[in-house]
Amino acid sequence: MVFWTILRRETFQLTRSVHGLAPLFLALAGAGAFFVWALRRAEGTAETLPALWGLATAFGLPFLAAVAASRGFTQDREVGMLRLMFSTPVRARWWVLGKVMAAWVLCMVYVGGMGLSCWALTRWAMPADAALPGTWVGFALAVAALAAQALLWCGVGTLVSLFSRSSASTFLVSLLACLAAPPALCQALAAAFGRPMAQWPWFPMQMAVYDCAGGLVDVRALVGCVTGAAVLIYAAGMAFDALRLCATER
Amino acid sequence: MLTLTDATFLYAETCGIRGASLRVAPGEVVGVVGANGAGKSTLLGLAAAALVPQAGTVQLALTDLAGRTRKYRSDQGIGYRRHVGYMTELAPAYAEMRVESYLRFRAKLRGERFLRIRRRVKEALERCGLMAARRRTIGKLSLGMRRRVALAEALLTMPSVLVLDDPFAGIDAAMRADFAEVIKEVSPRAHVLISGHDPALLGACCTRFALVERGRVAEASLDAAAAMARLLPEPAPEGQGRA
Repeated sequence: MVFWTILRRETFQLTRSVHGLAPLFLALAGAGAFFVWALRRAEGTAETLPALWGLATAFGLPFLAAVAASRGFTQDREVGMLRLMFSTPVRARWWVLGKVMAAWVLCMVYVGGMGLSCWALTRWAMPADAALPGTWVGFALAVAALAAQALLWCGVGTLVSLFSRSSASTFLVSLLACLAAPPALCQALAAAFGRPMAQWPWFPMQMAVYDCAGGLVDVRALVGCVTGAAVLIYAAGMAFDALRLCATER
Repeated sequence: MLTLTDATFLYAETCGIRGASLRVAPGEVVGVVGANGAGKSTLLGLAAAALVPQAGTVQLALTDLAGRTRKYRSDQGIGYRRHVGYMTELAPAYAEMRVESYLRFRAKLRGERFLRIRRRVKEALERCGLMAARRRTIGKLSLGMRRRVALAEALLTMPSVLVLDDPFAGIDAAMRADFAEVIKEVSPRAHVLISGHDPALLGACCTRFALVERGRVAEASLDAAAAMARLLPEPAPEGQGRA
């Protein structure tokens, strides 16, 4: 019950704050424009509609997740709520999960919004005689890949928000982490094991969505995202407890 | 009985509270006074379980806040925190929420039973004079009204331990009298700790005073006059004070 109480409040307030609707529409506009550009360019190629849609949606996702999650604990720190949260009989994991899932819900609203945009834009932007192959399975796989990635980005943002003192710095740090960490990790893995970077499932994350939507499901990438999110959520819970022990809410 | 035994919490080598021992009986209202930075808020944070003691213990009856491992501390802390009502110095609240929704949200978080929430919120609103403002957005309220909201939040679940950090700061005399009346009303069934700088202001509701000096509890049972005398600087000897 506590989790649902926190999730409801966080989701409701997130959609009403500057970290909610404005970035959502911005991301929709940017990704929508990219989708139209990709549609027009794809005429006569072998690309599928879900793959183009998934790729366009995936590019806006780290941006939106970083903005939504940057509000997390940073806002509580700014208004002095963190100390009151410490004295509330709620386990750290419920605070963290509530905030992560609220940001994730916003990301999924974005994915849904992009679905509607796709339906509308294909009618408007695609030439009458052109036809791109697309199946519902492709769309479903793309949504699964996007959901897993969104969870990971929201986990990163929430963890960063625990230590940051302003929403702006949380946004910048988590966006950098979202964009730079996977390639950096893959670079390190490639250097260590001598395999080409493209063979590592985490690089580039957006291409994993593209592949999933086209039917090339990379289970390692999906499992990697979900496991990474679980580790981050656990780490954020530990960090919340650690803050209580050393009182760095000041 | 609320008991702090050698409770220590240090932010840095010299900042925080060290070896604090204090006992508060049910029905007692203890005023915690001291200079700025003496460690009053840290002491109250320990009593409210917002901070976990680095050494020593904080106990309410048999519920011990400190334990052997971090997990044990955390789980025990949940049990202790259910009995605590805490108003922090900044009296924070979510500015975008309405007063009644905020109190209902906090009551749910503090583990109040679903069927009792409405009654508890109504009681707190009435007790703190917020019935007329219950549908107003917290961000649009004056500082005094926000402090009322914070007090109502602290009183929501009829806590056994009521910790009020500087509740009289920034409010007018009439509201101060209202606050003192509310504290007197709830004190017979709670252990109450109130911090402040002026024993004369706290005197209206406190039964005794504890003096905090340089991170230590120097005295634990002073009356208002003695606390005032200890807080004021000693007069300079004749012939040295003024040129």
